Amino acid sequence: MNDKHHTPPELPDRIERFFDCSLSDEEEAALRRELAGTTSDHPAICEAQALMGFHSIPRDRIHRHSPERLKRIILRCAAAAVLVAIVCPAILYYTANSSGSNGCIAYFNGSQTTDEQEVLAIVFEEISELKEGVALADGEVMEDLGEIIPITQSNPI
Amino acid sequence: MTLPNMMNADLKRFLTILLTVLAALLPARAQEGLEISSLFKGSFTSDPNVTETLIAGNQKFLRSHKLSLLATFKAPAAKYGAMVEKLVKADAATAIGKKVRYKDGRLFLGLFMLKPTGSGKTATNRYLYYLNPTSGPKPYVLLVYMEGKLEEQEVADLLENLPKKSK
Repeated sequence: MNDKHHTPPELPDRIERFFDCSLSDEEEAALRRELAGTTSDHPAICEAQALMGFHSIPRDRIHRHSPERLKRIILRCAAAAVLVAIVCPAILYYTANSSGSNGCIAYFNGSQTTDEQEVLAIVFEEISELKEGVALADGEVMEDLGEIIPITQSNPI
Repeated sequence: MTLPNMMNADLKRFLTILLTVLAALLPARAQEGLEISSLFKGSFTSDPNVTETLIAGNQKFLRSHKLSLLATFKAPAAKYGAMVEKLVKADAATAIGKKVRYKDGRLFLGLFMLKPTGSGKTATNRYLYYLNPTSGPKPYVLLVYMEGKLEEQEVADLLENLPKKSK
């Protein structure tokens, strides 16, 4: 049975010799084995254990069951759930209510059509009316210019 | 790390994801944000005197002309003229290019290149055309809205080369 406070009497001396580099390879290996097995909290032993890396603990073992980590996981799950609960219905709603924004539709004489050819026929007709309007406006501009030019010719600036 | 700090970090992460998703939806609704978009929400479709068309998304006609949306609205000028003109003027206020003609104190013709949405390769050009001829037996107001990758000259060519009717 390990006694946490039990310190083998010669161990601090051997540790001191280890730091002085006066141990043989066999003695150093024996010291390492002993330090790995002891539970003593003697400062010199703890220091040697830390130096030899016996106190390093894998990161995942430190955090695996920590309450902070569990809280973080729960919060992430909650955030993901909220995201799914809010965004997915929003996307579905958007999709369901935007059939007109991803398709072909026309309202004409109080009725509705989604036939592409019919819709395009209406669009083409309206655009040709627009072109006639543009031509009319351009013609009027030319008419206006035609009226201005004789005036400027008779009254040069 | 304290619980409020963790909540802040997760909240920030959540909001970032949410905003990214919403931003992804925005290009599809580029017409949104314009005053004239209210004309295409189905409010006037029950009026038999109103003609409204909307072509959007993955349509062959649009693809072949580098368009992503084409919408038209035609209605009697007496009833809708003032309202449509007001909406067009509001959107035209920030236009980056325009050609307008007034007649009898009313906007007769307006060709507007609106500020593009997005930038660089994702930029979408937007064009708004308005016509309100006061002459004729049935004065009407006509609005044509287009958006897509096409440049100004390409729009002019498109309008020039479109057939009068599809048939």
